[in-house]
Amino acid sequence: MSTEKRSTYTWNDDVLEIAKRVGKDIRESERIGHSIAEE
Amino acid sequence: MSLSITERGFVLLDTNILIDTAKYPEEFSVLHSELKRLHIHSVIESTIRFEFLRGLRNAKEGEDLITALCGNDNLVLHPDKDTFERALSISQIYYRNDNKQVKISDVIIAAQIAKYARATSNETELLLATQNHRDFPPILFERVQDLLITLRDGSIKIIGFYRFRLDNFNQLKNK
Repeated sequence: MSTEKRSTYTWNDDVLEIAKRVGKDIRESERIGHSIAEE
Repeated sequence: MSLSITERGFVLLDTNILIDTAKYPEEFSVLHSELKRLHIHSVIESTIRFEFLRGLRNAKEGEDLITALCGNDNLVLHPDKDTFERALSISQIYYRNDNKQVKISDVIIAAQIAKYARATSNETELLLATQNHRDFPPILFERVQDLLITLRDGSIKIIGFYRFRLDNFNQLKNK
């Protein structure tokens, strides 16, 4: 694994919005019975 | 609470971390901010990517979240022949220790962690971040630190950081 591959991640408003949309998708999927395996 | 794990390393995010990052983004930003502060790179495994994306109606947004967490280089580990050889050895160790309930995906993840395990904790290594504290047993995994995240309803999520016990693995795999 190369140490040169640095993450460009920053937890900004854009990332928060993406996460919120995915979270809404997960909750709706769970509600209609297509739940993701959660340990 | 802050993390004190080795800086400038790598952490493999388990599926449950990705899911809860999406479900509780404000709360889980604590985890990702800590990783960033310590210059630790987030990594996923293709099995984890599959588990995360398969339940989403909009896989593109799931991919976007993975990219946001793991960077544009998208550090995704892919299993190869050696991964399955190590997974077989790990499964055999589990079986000999009466641990027969671990899922295939968790054994593959264990094999990937094993690939990048180091003999001493001072070297750059790959740790596992997970909320699954049952299927990475102490015989092969050292739980080096916990990060507690309190949700708005008061419940607590416990993220464990696990290091693969390379010495134990090397001793046990050929018995």
